[in-house]
Amino acid sequence: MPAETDRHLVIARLREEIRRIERSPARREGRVPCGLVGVDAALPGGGFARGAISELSGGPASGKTAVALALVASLGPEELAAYVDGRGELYPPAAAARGVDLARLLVVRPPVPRPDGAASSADAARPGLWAAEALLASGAFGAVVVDVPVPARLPGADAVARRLQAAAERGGAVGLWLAPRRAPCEHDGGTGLRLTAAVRLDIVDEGRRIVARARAVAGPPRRGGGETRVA
Amino acid sequence: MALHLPDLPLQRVRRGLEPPASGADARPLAVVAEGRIACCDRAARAAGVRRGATVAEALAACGRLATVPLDAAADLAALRALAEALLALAPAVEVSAPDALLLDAAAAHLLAPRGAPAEDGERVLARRAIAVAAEIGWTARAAVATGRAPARALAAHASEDVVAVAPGATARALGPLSLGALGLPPPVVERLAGLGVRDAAALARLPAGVLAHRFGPAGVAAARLARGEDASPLVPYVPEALPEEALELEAPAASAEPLLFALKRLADRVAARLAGRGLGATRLRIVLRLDPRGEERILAPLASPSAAVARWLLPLKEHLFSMRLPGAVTGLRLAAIEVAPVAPEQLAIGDRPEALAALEGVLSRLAVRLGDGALFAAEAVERHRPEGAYRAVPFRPAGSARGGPAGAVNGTAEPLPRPTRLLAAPVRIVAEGEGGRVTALRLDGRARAVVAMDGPERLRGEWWAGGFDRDYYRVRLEGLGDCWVFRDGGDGRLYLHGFFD
Repeated sequence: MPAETDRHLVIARLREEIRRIERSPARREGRVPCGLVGVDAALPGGGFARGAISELSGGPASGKTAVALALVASLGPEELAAYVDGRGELYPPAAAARGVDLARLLVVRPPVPRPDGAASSADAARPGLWAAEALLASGAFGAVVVDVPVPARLPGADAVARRLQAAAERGGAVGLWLAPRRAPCEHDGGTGLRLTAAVRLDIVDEGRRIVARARAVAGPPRRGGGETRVA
Repeated sequence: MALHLPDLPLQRVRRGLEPPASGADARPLAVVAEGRIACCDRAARAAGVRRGATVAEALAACGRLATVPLDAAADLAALRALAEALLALAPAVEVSAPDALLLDAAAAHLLAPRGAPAEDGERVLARRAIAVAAEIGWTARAAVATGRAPARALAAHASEDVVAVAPGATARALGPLSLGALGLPPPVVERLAGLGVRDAAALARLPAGVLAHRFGPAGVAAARLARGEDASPLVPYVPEALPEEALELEAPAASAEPLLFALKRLADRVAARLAGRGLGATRLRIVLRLDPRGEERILAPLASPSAAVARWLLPLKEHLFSMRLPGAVTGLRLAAIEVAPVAPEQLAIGDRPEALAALEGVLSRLAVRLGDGALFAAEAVERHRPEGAYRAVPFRPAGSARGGPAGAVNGTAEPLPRPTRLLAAPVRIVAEGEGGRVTALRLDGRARAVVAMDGPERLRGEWWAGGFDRDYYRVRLEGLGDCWVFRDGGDGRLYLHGFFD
């Protein structure tokens, strides 16, 4: 039925138009490939989406940081990147060796609270999450990598996840959430945050070749309860 | 070209007060030097206060008169500050104390509108100089003439804001000036008046020999000035210190809002001084003086060198509004404590202002909440100790050219791979093996089989700082991935130092 198809097309175009208008003017669109064949191939559209958060999950030496750095290195020459290094483990010389221009990479290391037991691990996570939200929403960065340890039970985790997602949409950056995988069965990738990630990738280092496997995307529970799952 | 600041000491005192005292309710003000009135404002003059009168006489004429002692050093500093701002207009500026600046107007013809005579350029320069001075709170008059002394004398005694004298017409322009205006001491003026010489024109007509005989070098110099002869070169002022400006608040401020207004005024002044030198601030310092005592200091880093006040205000505002003031603020100082050269076009139009404003905004929010040290860009350092191979530097992406891929180790050899994650402190691990071969590493109480191993890469040195001697291996552990492990030459033990994540 050609008339039916036309109508669908028009509606799709209008939807896209409305989405475009609703975004802030400085917003960049499209996708950014990271240049690693094994990863880009697993991504819809062949790259990481701007204005969204993609989750990279994997073990401590799976190659997820290398994927994030590859993406930062493949940004345009005018673009800046930020790395919220909540664990304080990013080793900049390795980033430089992977083609990252260190002068254009902002590293944010939130101060670590003193281990006197007064501050809970949830309190320790907050500054990093807040910084990530501010950086994502600013519109000043092409990519924001977030590596913040989040305890399994973070009060208000769903609200935090929604805010991060909204910030990414507002600022138009590629948001990358690094999630260490502790047990393969864990629903949230080992962190207490269930993000509305545009895409979730399991990063695996197969004999020094990094490959990614896309996982089903699960959003945070909606206000009415229940869970929306999008394949 | 000379720029004269009438009643500079008075202007300086007024300029240092916030809010600027308005004519209606302000007390008449006079500056006093050695017990006599050096200068006074219009209100004081209207009440009968005269220059040169004693303080007692002045107070008798005007009971409400406020007096401030003359501070020659502060006046000179103010002149120097204005000279810095004017460096944006002229290639050289001379500070001519007590109340004038001399600008090199040799290139002024470039400012003339298309098709207009070159002299118009001089008027444009003069007006711009007056405007720059006005922007940062000074009232000034300008005179363009050949020679330093004639220009200074004309500016000091001109009735208009801008006087431009064509080359060759200097003597005629100076003619009507009184002898005092030529800088002659009062006794000499009186003796000349006795001879019937009352103005510059008359002085210029006297034969040089007579003057030299009767009045010495001062007389000769005055006569040369009266004839418009002055070929002395300009002595350019070279600023040394970084600019700092201060303001007293008339009423102590307990909230951020009034402080921001005062800060804007200070920022205008500091920025103008930096712009004159082709510099932009990369770090600002605000000192708030508290009532009754104490100070509060704020350091505000900027993402890129800038002399644009709009770019400064964002981080300053962020800092001001986020801090809890322990008391009311009675005065504030703003200084540019770190500066860097700014390209001229950037001074004029800004470098993608929206993007920079967004960056500036988020950086200052982060710096306020997390602390200045939490944000940095890394810079490679040529050191063998892995944890020392980079250092944190301020994040200033604007102006930094995008460099190509840079290895951690400079040199001709291909740099060896480095882990993407380095642990803050190396973790002890235990090797398990058979027949001298390591088969597994015990980590967190769990043995993980060694799948592959590269190495060693020996890193040692820095004997001056305790020294270290490590053999690094890239070890692939089952179920974990590639780890960076070293054997310490000191204790012979194995440590996990990072992950090739």
